[in-house]
Amino acid sequence: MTYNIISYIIYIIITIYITVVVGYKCYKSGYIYVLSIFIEEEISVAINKILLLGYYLTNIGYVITIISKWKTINTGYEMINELSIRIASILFLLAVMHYLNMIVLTFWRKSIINKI
Amino acid sequence: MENKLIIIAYAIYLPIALLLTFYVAKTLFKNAKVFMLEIFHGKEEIALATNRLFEIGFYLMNFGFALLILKINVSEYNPFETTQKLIETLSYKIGGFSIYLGVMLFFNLLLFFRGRRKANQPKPIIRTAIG
Repeated sequence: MTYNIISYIIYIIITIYITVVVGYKCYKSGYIYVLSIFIEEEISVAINKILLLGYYLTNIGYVITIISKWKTINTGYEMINELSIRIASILFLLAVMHYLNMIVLTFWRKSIINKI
Repeated sequence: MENKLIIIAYAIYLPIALLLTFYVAKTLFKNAKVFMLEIFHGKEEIALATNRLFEIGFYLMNFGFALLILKINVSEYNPFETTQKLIETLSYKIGGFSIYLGVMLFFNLLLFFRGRRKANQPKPIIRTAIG
């Protein structure tokens, strides 16, 4: 067990936990938005589920892919540094994507309401 | 010279990639049934058949891609000898495949949206010789 492998394990556990929890919360409260855009209940449940699955696939895929780009870690001090930077960048990415999503949803909803 | 780690890597990668594809396709096309029914205006037979055909296409394409990126290149610069290297290579392959699957999922969703929009448009009036 080198320092790299230990930090990979910690990194994967933390980031996948965060991604799953954030996705599930957005899935729960985003349903009303999807419902207001697509109106019919049956189809919005289906869309919401597919969106959640797509979110999980792309985000967890990205989180795992990034592992192959790490530098070699020699000390515990470096490990903590590297871990914090990597996890922070994932958090920032999630936040930015979340805000973008909210902007898109808001505008989409407005345009649909205007049409009606 | 046989490299045992490569065989291990293949043995981990293949089941994960194939099961992931299987699970994604199952979930996607279970939910796509609603779309198909709406696109074909409730004609169940043709809607389910179309759904099945889309599913087969999805399987073919993604299994094909999964097998295509299987190979791990070993050279002097990239000796595949440590466990760390194994984890890194596997993460790159599985993560990349997962992102690809996500993109394909959204692409299929786009197709469904498009079909739904076309189906809901009022049909243009066709002039016939008799009319």
